[in-house]
Amino acid sequence: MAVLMLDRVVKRFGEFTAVDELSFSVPEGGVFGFLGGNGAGKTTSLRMVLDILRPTTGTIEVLGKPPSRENSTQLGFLPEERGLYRRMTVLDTVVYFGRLKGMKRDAARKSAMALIERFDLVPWARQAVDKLSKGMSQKVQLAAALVNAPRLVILDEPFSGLDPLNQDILEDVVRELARNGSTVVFSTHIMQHAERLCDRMLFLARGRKVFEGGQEDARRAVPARLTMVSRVSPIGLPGVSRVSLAESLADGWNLWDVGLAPDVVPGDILEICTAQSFPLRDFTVHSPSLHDVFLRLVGPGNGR
Amino acid sequence: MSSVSIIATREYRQIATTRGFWITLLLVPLAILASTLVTRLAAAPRDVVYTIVDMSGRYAASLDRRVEVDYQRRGLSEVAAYAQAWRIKPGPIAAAWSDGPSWYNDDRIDRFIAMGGVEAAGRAVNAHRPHGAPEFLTPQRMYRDVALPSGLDDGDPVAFGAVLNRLFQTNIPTPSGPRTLALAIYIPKDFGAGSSPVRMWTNGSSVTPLIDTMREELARAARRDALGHDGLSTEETYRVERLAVPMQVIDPPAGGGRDGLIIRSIVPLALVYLLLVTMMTTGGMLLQGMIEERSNKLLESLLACVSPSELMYGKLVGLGAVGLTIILFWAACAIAAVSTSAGIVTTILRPSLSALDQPWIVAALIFYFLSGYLIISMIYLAIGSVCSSIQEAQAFLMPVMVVITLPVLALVTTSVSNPGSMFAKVMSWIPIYTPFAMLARLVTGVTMSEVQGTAALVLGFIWLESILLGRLFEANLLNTGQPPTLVSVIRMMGRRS
Repeated sequence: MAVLMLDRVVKRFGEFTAVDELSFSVPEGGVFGFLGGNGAGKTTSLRMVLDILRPTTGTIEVLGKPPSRENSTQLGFLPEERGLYRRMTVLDTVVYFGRLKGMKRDAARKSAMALIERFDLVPWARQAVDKLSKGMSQKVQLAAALVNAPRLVILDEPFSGLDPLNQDILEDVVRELARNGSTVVFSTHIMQHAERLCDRMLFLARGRKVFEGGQEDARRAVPARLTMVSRVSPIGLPGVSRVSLAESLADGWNLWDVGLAPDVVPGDILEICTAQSFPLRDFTVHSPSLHDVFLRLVGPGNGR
Repeated sequence: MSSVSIIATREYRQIATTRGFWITLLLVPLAILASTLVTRLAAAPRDVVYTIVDMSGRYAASLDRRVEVDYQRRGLSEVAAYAQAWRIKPGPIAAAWSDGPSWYNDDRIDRFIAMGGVEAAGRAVNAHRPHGAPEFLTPQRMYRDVALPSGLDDGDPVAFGAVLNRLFQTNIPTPSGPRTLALAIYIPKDFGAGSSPVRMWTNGSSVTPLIDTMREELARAARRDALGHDGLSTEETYRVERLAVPMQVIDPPAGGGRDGLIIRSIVPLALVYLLLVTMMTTGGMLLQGMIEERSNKLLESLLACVSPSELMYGKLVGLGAVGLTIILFWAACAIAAVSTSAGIVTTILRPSLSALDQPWIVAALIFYFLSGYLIISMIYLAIGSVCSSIQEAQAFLMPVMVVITLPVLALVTTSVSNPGSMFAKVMSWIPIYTPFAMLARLVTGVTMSEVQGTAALVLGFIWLESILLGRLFEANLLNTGQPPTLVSVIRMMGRRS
């Protein structure tokens, strides 16, 4: 079952189209990466999912229902730009958001205390938020998002502003949520986090979807890079579209950077080399990272 | 518990737990108490000591008598006002003031003195004062004649003047304690006949009213002397002097007239001022809270849980509760002051509270106070919803406050001087001013249809204002950067979601 489904969703602000014909679905369980550069339309899409914004056209389903505040009982949301009531205590803040999500006072308090313990905030539970460091404040905000043990957790750029230690803690939390059956959707433009966390992902460029699938699918979407060490240029081999000399080595051997024609995989070239007795000293396939995929899919000239 | 009430509770706690809120709340009753005490202290100056050296032997008694008559006239006015305010009829002495202050001529004062004067009247009203009424305090004498040590007052004016410098710096024992001499009057032997002037020395303090009294009385005595020289007997000159013009001044009934109007208007007018003061204080807190939510990027988290209209109504309900707390707290203070204190506070507060003797007036006072509070609060909320900093908000707030405050202050003045004025009536039908205008006019004669009509108008305006504010909230809450222009604000308000 899909916990989140967008069908041909368009969002325009006057003449500007922020989200253009966006369709995708997120199955229940696991971690879904919502990836794209700045201004790609990630935050606008998430705001439509949360009913903070309404789509111009298209339909959205959240947990099987149209977006509305009724869903907030099963939703957890951590916005990109975070803030808290400075004079409220840590405990009151988390309980307040729990109550706004429809929890009873006692249940909200119990859950808030559990999260405060989980995030090592017990000594500050009754302190005003303005006494906390930025990292601790972000933990409080995360606790406020998770206080209702949500089925669907939406994290908008959750790692921005966090130090490496807190980034690790947050990654652990995301994995823990997924293990406990929640579905986590998070947006980011830092591919290392996506690489470590996402089961499935969607790349967004200028409001349009440019890819949706698993990590391996994403890597396959970008042609692999091949390097070969040979005396003769491999430009004449079938399936090779481009060759450049990367380095001249000893005894006439050269390192070649080889580009492949569409639909040609490195294995095909290796097979041809063997069949034609093409002398080789090294044959290395460089698998693309998500960073490469991101640059390729989301870079200039992609999307609109 | 609905989202609206959860937000309202938080808003209420946010304001009600600040020191500023409680300082404002306590400041008003404390300020009233302090001003009462200051007034009382200021109204009790030390008596001024004077002495008369009458070389003619004919005028000193007449001058002293004038001072006494003026004192008794003032005492009669005060005891009459006290008896009227507390509805006391203390037996035969009440006849002295039964015809009202316009009849306090010298003959009436003579009769009052003959009945025992203000001391006797004070004892009589205090014997009849009802429970809760403060004790009537006999007014303090303003001027007191003292005799000089013998031997000082039989010289010529130059010699007399020479010894005064010492007297002006020496304490002289008087019934009210040691005092320094403030005024010395030297009446020459041939006053009235010769050209020698009456001489007066002062110690430098302002005793002009006493000098004027002395001058008028001496002039009167000189005129009597002149008439005597022309053959008129002393009795005849006194008779002519005291001739009273037969006329009847019809005063308004007790509690009526301008004084009564002012007393009855104290509570409603105080509410107008308090509404302004409260709005300035809590409105500032509200604005700060709203801007905190915007600048802290809190709104997105909130809007993921509640709709913009729930957020807005939550804030309004919270604010309404703050307004209600204020009015209830001040009402409790007023009631406590009336029931426990017997000072001047109760002298003013009791009759003004007793003007609110009909339940609908009390209900209307609360309604207009709360509706005024909500109308202005929504303006603050609107400003807060488009601004990201207090500095930005100030640019909007200043003109708005001027537009609200100046007409309201003019309205208060008009409501007392001319309650039925066209200005006050017109203001009653301009929704933003209606609560202020109706509060100010409520006890000065508004019709029930005016109350019903303006109440409906105010409710309609609050409804419209909340819709427009809701649209502004929805359109602008998550916007950042420069605040929108007035035109775009109007456009946002006109747009349905």
